[in-house]
Amino acid sequence: MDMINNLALGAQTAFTLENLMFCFFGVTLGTLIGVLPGIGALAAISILLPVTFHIPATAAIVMLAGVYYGAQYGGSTAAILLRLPGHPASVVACLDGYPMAQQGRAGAALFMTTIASFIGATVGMLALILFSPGIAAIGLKFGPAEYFALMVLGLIAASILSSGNALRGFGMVVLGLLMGVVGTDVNTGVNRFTFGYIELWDGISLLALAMGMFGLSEVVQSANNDDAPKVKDKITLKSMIPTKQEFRDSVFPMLRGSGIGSFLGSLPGAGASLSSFMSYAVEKKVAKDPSRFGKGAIEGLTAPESANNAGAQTSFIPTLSLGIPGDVVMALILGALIIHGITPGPQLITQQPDLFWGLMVSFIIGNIMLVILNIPMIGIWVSLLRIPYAALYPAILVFISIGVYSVNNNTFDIIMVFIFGVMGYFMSLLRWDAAPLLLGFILGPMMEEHFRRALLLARGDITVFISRPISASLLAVAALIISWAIVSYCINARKRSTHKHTNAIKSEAG
Amino acid sequence: MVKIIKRIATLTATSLLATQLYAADYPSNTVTIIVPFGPGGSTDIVARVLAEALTNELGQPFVVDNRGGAGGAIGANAIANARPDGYTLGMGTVSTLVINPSVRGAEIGYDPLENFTHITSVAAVPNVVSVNPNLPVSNMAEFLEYARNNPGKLNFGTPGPGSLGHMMGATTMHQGEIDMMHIPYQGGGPALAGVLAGDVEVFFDNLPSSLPNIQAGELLPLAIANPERVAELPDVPTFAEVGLDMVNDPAWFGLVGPANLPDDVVEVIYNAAVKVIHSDAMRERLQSVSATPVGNTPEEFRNTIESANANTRFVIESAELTFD
Repeated sequence: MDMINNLALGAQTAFTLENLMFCFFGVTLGTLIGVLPGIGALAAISILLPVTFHIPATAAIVMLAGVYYGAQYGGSTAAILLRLPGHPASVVACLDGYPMAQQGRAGAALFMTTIASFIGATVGMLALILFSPGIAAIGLKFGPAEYFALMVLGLIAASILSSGNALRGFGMVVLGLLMGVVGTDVNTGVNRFTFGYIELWDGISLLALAMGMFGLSEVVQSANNDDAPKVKDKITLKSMIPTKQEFRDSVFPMLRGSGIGSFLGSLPGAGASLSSFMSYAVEKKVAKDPSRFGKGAIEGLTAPESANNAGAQTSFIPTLSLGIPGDVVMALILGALIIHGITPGPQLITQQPDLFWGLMVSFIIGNIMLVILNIPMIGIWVSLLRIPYAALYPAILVFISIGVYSVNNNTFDIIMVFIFGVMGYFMSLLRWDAAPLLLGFILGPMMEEHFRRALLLARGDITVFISRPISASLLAVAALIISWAIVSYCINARKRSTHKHTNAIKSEAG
Repeated sequence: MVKIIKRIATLTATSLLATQLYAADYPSNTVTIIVPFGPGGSTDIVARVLAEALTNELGQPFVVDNRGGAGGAIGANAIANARPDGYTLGMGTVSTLVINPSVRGAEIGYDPLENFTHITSVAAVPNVVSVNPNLPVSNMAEFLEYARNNPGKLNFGTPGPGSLGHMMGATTMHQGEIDMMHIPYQGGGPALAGVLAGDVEVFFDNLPSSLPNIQAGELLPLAIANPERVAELPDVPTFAEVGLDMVNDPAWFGLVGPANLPDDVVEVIYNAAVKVIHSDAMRERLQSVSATPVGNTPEEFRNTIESANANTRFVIESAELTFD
């Protein structure tokens, strides 16, 4: 009955007026910045961090964490309505969310993402509360060879992402991989393709790339359209409520997405940004009719959304139980604890039980607040579509610029957004998908890093990838997917040719 | 044209005059402290504690401006290129003023001695070498012997090539006459995960980020880089005690400005900084990040940087490390 005592202790901490207020403030702010394209949790937490030095540790982390997971709820809003992702991970929400909005189902899409977010967050939270130390230990079993094998699976996911021509999708992945090469080589410290700009030493900024290719290029394209609002009709309550079918089609995808997200989120450094891409690829792979994807398939929206939010919760596992921040935002949250003299590590749960359990209970409260906050907001967000482009898009440009600038207080990144915006515009004219490029860009550097580290540790022995069980099984799955794809391609090709052949005979006979 | 030249001349004269005036009642305006790293890290925390204390001491707001990126090079360049009027200062660390310039050479865009006015070292943080507890050693002497018996077998993890950890590892190999494989990671967090998992056996790090896992028994500390032993780990010897004095330097965080800060401005900041650095409140706040106050004179601070640069270049040359 330890768990009940622990949660009771957590409730005592979380239900103080002060912590409730900071939690509410955090999730509200998170929702808002999540919706704004370009301004993500990273920017908001960077700005808030100095403020937290003056409030108690628990309140500080409750608030910052609220901003972080709150932002995951809002991230898909602009992606669905305007094809403008709030942050890199919500690029996936553009793929099927935007088509839904075009079909007049924007309200339903937003409703379902809120539900999917909540389910994802709940699963992630349960994993966090019940199995934290165990999951952290599994995370450590993932050495460089295992990460590499996981990235190979990710690459396959990238090729599935593309909605159109497979060859073009492949080309985009390769382009993304190449762009990921820019920056200081992790192994040798050599600066690659930096052209004398020290700003490129850290590589191309993922945020700048995503905001340029998706945000800015969308704004440029819309400049060609007439200045009419996207929705003229009044939004009815009915259009906001998902159909029974939409609910039924989402149950298993949401659970699968939650599982994938919980797992990837708990791996330090695997990048929660991967989880939504991976989960989309899985859904497309298991779907009876994959051709629906990219045209408003509800699973393509809800599964990644659950994955995203589950990952946001479980990414606290390595941070709190090992003291290893999984990403930049987690490093900031770690910093907020350190300034209060608390360094998270294996002893955090025993030494600071009120902080740890208080935080856990605040996650539960925060997520409930988010649902209550988000559902009534749907109508307001949908009405954004009634704002004319001429007013909406300049405002979006300002938000993108502020968001990208505030990460490093550096104007260089804004110039990069501009360059990628132009590039993204021409890519969309040519119908080159930017989503596989983005996933290639995320995966490339990680894949190279882990591949080379695995080989360094094995002193150059390439069999390391198949002699370790986890890595071997992941690679086997990858090989299976590829061979299945080849086999089914051949079968289809033969069917088509026999079909053609029979047709030819028929027409000759006719 | 003449008009424009005249105008420029007047402007220059006024601004020169302004600089003169500034010095007399410095500071009469907000002072920015550039931190060449993102918020939440040790440098940022030290800078914010200092900024708050200086605000109270000098009656003008001291604000922190985080300019992260390129391992601190972007922020360090911003400090070096700022107007030397005392209203833009910055933090200089062992990474930005010693290791990065030694590793990168001219490519980095600034000279750690020529392009800065060195005011004072604010705080120092010990470094530590620790090993995965599964390694069959219990102290530094056993470790060195084990490493000598297994040349090239051990792996040491660091936050990246040309990082402080890498230099510590290279120096340990040089002076300890051992050979290990360098395994660079993308930052300190992943490297810590690597040693906890046992992928690498040895880890060179700042003490604060390793300490929780040391206290939990997940990492075995072998030696501390600090002038004296630290209160948190009284049984762990310093590198100097185990005969590796070249590795014994702690990491430090100093207050610097662009080159050619007026002497009277430096004096005002130096006096105020040293006063607040040695206050009890400061000592207590720095303790939270395992840092100890320093507050040395500009000459001492400059000498530290100069000799550390010489040492680092010596190690880079003798270990034949290359980064381009």
